[in-house]
Amino acid sequence: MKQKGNYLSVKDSRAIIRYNIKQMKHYEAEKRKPRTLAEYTVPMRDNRNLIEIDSLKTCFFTDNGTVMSVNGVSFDIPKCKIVGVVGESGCGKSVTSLSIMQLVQAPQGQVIEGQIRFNAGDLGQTEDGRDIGYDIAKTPTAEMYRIRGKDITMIFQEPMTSLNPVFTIGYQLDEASFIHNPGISAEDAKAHSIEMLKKVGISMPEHTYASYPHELSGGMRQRVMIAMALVGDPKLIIADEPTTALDVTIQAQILELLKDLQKKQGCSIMLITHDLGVIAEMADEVVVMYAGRVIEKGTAHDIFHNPLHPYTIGLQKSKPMINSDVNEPLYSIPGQVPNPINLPNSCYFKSRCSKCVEKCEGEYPRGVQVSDTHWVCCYLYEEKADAK
Amino acid sequence: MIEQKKDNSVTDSAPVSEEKVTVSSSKDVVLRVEHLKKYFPIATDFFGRPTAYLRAVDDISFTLERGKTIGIVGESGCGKTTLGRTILKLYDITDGEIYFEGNNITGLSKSAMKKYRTDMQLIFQDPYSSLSPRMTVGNIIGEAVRQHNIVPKDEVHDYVLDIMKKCGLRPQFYDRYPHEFSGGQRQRICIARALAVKPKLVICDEPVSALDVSIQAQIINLLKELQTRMGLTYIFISHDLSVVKYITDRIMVMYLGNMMETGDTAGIFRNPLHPYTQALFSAVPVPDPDVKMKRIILEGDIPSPANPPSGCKFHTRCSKCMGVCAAKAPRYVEAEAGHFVACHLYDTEIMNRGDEYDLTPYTPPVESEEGEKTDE
Amino acid sequence: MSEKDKQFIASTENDEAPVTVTGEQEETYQEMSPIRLVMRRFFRSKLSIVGILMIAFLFLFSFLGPVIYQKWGEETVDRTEVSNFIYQTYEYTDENGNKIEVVEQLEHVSGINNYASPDKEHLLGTDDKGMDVFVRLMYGGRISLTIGFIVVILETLIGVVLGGISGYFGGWVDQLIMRIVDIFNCIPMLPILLIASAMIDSWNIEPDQRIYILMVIITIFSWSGVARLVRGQILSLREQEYITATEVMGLSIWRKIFFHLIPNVMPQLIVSMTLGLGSVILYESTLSYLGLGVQLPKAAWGTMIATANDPQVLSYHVNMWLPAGFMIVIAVLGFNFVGDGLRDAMDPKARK
Repeated sequence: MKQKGNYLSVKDSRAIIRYNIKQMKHYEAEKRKPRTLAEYTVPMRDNRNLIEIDSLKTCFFTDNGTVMSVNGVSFDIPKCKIVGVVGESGCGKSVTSLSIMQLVQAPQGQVIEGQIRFNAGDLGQTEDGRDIGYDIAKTPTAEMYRIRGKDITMIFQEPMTSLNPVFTIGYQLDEASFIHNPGISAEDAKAHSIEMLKKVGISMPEHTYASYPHELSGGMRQRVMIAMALVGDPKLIIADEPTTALDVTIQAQILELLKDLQKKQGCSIMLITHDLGVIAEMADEVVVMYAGRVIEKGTAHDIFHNPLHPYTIGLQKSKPMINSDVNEPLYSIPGQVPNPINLPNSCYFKSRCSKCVEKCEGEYPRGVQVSDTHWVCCYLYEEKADAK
Repeated sequence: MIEQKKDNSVTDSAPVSEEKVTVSSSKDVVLRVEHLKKYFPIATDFFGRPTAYLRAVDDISFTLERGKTIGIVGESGCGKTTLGRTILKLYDITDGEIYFEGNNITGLSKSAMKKYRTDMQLIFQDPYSSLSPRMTVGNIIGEAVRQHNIVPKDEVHDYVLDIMKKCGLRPQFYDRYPHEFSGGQRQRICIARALAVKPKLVICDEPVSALDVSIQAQIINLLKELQTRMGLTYIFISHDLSVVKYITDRIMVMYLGNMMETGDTAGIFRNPLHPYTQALFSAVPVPDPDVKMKRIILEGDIPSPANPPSGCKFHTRCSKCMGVCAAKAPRYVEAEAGHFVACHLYDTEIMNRGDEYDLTPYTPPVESEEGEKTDE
Repeated sequence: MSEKDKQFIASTENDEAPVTVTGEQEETYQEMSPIRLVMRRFFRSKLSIVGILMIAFLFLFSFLGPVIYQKWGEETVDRTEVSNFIYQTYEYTDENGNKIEVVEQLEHVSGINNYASPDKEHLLGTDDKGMDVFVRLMYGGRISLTIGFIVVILETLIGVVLGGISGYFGGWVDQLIMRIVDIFNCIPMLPILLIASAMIDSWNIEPDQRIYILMVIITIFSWSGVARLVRGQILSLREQEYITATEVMGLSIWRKIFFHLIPNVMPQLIVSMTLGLGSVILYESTLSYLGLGVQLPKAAWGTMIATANDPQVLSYHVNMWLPAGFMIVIAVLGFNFVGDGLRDAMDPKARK
């Protein structure tokens, strides 16, 4: 019963490795090429957007084959909005955020296609009045150092491991100040750090400033991480599952804090999470991802009151709710997330979908704009749109 | 702290003693836990005698009927995992008694405990570290079956296949290794392993926390269905209130090793009494952007269980804290039938004697950070 | 996947299978078993392939070599008569002050063909006793490899048992065993071996048996490293939940240790064994070189190198000692390459 045929043969494996090495060399060489400013700046589509991701493809060259972690993802992050990206593990939501930060694990991971336009606001405008932004997919690493941490920052899931245990909180905060404002004096840096700690609701900032990470609880550490993210006065904060490792009562505190800060600072937040509750609580706009693709996007209202894609519907139904009926069995989406290697060019969800139609066997649906804000990638609605 | 407890113990044991009268006569009580305590020594003097304790489980009592599920809810560090493992006797018991089907198993030695091993099983949170990477699925499930002679030797193979089928695993998986499976399927293997020895009581320690939402639903449904088919009794440990609501008949809310509130699931969800339970419920995000619940946001962090606050352990974060809360540990009050709560607010005896007890609102001094520093 | 699967899916739909059967789609999982994965990673490194080739060559050479090449035995002395001419030069100065050189040619007939240069008859020449260097090289390899393997297996056995007990039971047992390990660790091995060899000398033991005693002594002083390794691994494995699961299952201690703990220590053990082989061979050679290990007429690489103690041999008969040294280098390098390759293959996190 053991199926040997399921394994990769040695020959295939060799071919994969050879292919991977070639690809990795190609993309690494591509990255090292000197580029002029004009080559990595592009006009934004809409000045109101902070980030425009356009058919982004990020893949990982693994020993088992090429994994398309992000497979043609497009969505916008408007200024001063919270965009929630939701999906199950392995759907590519974290890789999308890492691509924005240019932090994809190289050389295995490479952005191979698409644009990430970032409106930094310091590059002027084109003749027709559109802001010029950086194309992060092409921006050289040296330039990226300037953007990363200052304009775009990130809050990680694990507050326990994202702080260096051998330095005090204050040292680590000051360090960030020194990097983003070269020439700042030590006193100013300290004052700035303490102000940031105050901002994130730490009651005794001087005391916390002098303490080491292990002396703080998880919630406090996450607050410090947020303070650190705020040091450079960022335009975009990417929060990658910021509350998953925390308890519910602490999660409520942190979410409240993030929301507050977003309003005060006027920055955008890209909130990545698997928890629909958190998304509903926080996000203005929601992007639902599945197996490396965006399957539905719209305002929070669209997604939660009028979910269209069968996966979005299933996801919402299968989430047990505190105020729902217990006697019915929980709805569950059958099956598993597909293996990300060599996905066929057809809807990835069709084998788990209860509303599958004949057309689903065909190639991957191109997606329909259902309303001004609501976009879905499913044949069920394409037909309706076509009929109209 | 301990002395205080002892002083009050007569009234403290109210929920248990009453239940004992009503329930122990009917023989369907699978598990009875009385005043269970588990302290871990954290500091020792020169001779190795412990001088300070971490009170992971502090005076917990409950009874569990056959075929029912009790949910143990609480945040990290509240001792819910320790409670589950202490019931399994993976840890030595500091104080208190555990009765399994009427037999006192508290003092049993490891070898004497063997008899009960197959009756009580544990399902772990992390499906990745709980399966031995070098054994096939069939061996993992069948190992304990062979060891305890659950079925005759020549029937083991068929028996394992049968269990696998019940848990939604295909027979082809028999010879595969755990690393070939995704989290959900691994959790099914864990469930199959636990159920293969025909247990009576299964302790589920956050069985779905590590899984994706759509897989969570599959596992919850599977657990529920197996319960009805095999007549299992569950202790369901979780921090996720919405999951607990789906699977449990009764709920026990724990905070820093203490029981805060216990009662019917429906009753507690309809009418949470303890301020902590209320805060816990209101903190759960609801997947509906229009429902903006009135949040009770708790201030501060959970105090360290090594250095818990005096009186009611929750008083440092409580929005309804009174002067008496810092001084006196609350008793268990039966606010509704079968719904016990440990809070002075519902203790008429205390609330009516404002002359004797300080019932004015009280804000505990902010010392949480200092307190934490000294613990570590 | 095969039709079987589809049949199964169909059959589960018919009989009353649990409602929640996932309706799993066919998996396209192409994951390999841990062993296959390790093999693949192992063979990707060029050094480990070189190591494997070196070891394979050594084995063939030492164990198959003497079977094929039977021209000379291990201890057979080439007794062909060899006549050498020895030239002796005398210098005189006559009364006129002229120097006169007289060369005397002496025929020296030796009953043993020793100090022969490499030729067809003796591929690597002969040594001072007239024994074939090439053949002795093969027999020396046999001894070195045998001692290496037996010692490593013995020390691993002792280490696993003691380390396993220490790690599993903990408490005072752990304390006791680990202190013993400490004691063994701080005894310098070479002086002890020298003393032991001197003692064995005084017992007048046959050269054959001497080898076994040598093995035992090396084992006694090298198990402590393995014990420490196993204990550390078991301590960290005990934190894993599947070990807690065995406790909950009520499995016997014996099963827990040998079916759950030890198999998971195996990767580290295999690496340490491979690396250990190299060092044991080195020890054996060192002792033989010092004349304390394998004794003449038995062949060993160490004793063969010892011939270079004679300055005459060192400078004029390189064929007598260089090949043995070369073999030792091959053996130690080979095992170390393989060991390193295995370690990298088994612990992918260690790389990059």
